[in-house]
Amino acid sequence: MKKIVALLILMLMLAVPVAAASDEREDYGLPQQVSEFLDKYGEGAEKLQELTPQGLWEALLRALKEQLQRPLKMFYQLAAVLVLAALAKAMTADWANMQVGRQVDMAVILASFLFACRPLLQLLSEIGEMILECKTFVVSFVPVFATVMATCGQPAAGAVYTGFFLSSVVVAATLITGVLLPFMKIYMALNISGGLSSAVDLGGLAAMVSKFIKWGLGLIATVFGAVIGLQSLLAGAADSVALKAGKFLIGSSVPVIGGAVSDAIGTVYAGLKVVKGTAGAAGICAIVVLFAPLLLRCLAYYFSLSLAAAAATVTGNGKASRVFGGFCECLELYISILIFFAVMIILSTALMISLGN
Amino acid sequence: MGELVKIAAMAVVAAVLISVLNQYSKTYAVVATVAVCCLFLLYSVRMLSPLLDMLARLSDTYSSADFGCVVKAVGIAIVTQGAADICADAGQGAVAGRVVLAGKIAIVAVTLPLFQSLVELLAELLR
Repeated sequence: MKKIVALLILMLMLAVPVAAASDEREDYGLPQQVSEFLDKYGEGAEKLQELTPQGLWEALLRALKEQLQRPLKMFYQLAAVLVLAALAKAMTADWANMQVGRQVDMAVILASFLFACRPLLQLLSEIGEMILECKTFVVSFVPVFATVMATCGQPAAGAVYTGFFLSSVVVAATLITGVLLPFMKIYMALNISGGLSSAVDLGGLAAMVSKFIKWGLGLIATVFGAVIGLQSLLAGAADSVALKAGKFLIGSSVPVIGGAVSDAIGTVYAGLKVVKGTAGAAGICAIVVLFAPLLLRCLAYYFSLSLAAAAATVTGNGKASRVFGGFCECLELYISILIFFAVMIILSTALMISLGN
Repeated sequence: MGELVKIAAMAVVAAVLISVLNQYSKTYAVVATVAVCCLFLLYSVRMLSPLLDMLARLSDTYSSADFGCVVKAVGIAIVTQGAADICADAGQGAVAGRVVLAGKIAIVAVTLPLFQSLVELLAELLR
């Protein structure tokens, strides 16, 4: 009797469906910015494959227009100030000997610096935040991808990817956000102060800081290149040997059907490599979506400031032109850092996708 | 073009009349010079207002304090230089110098918010 009651209770328990609470929309572990991009331009990750080329082109154009708004506004502000200064000089008979001309020049330079510097400072903090967010994404993506690689018969590559590559990304992100970005702020401050003060020439000091930043970035890139080379060297050979040895063992030890089983293993691994490629491609796309808008905005600011520097030269504002040139150099460094970080992750992931294929 | 010809003609006529008045009474000549300069300045500002509107629309900073400071500084410079030139023509070099000094101080006072913003920006950069 007791057994029957216990059996009935067990059947009732098993009959009730249970499930963990979950959101209706899956984020697939993507960074928030990537999910927002997909929702805005791709109607969600599930419907991305239904996006037509024209739809994709329109989405890219919309994204581009959004990124161009702030740089264009900065350019219009700088152009307005420079044109006003040129008009004032044109309206006065002899500006160079005008007794209050220097004070007006100072006001024009101050306003120009403020219009140019505020967006660049905001851009710098956005770059720092984005690099940290990318680091967080990579820390969660790499173990998953390494697991996929292990199931594809590349356990050594997966281990090396998790070890060397992940450590490199974390160290590079920490060095860039902790050392290089603060030095860029120092460079901008020296640039502005040098432009305002004619008594003290800070150009040499600013050039030294810029050289240090470039040297630091070059060193990180060189070390990372060596790590990538080592990674592919260690991983590829080990996995290839292990797979061939495993197939040989199965082929020779299993009677009658050993050869067929050995071939079947190869077929299964080939199928799993499709999964590996898809997972890797998804990671690369997420990185591109994270970096592309910021890179576009940096390029737009670079062109705006180059135009402003040319306009300052034409309107006779040599000091402003030199400082805008310094800001352009700063933006070149921003672009270098962004491209380096993105390419570092994309290249490594692409290398892991192509290894063993 | 027509307006410019009118301005040029008025300027020449005013110069001739002031130089004739100068022979009889230097004081009245200075007053006449000031009046003519103010008239021309007002006329120039009226002609300039469409351009300033265009600049404001271009920069979208019509209500921005920074752009306003620059406009005020340019205005102060033009008025100061005009006044200094009139005083110098009237033979009052010392007065002209003090007017210029007042103009410089006024420009520095007007651009103080820009200096403050810049110092705050530099402090944020070095934080």
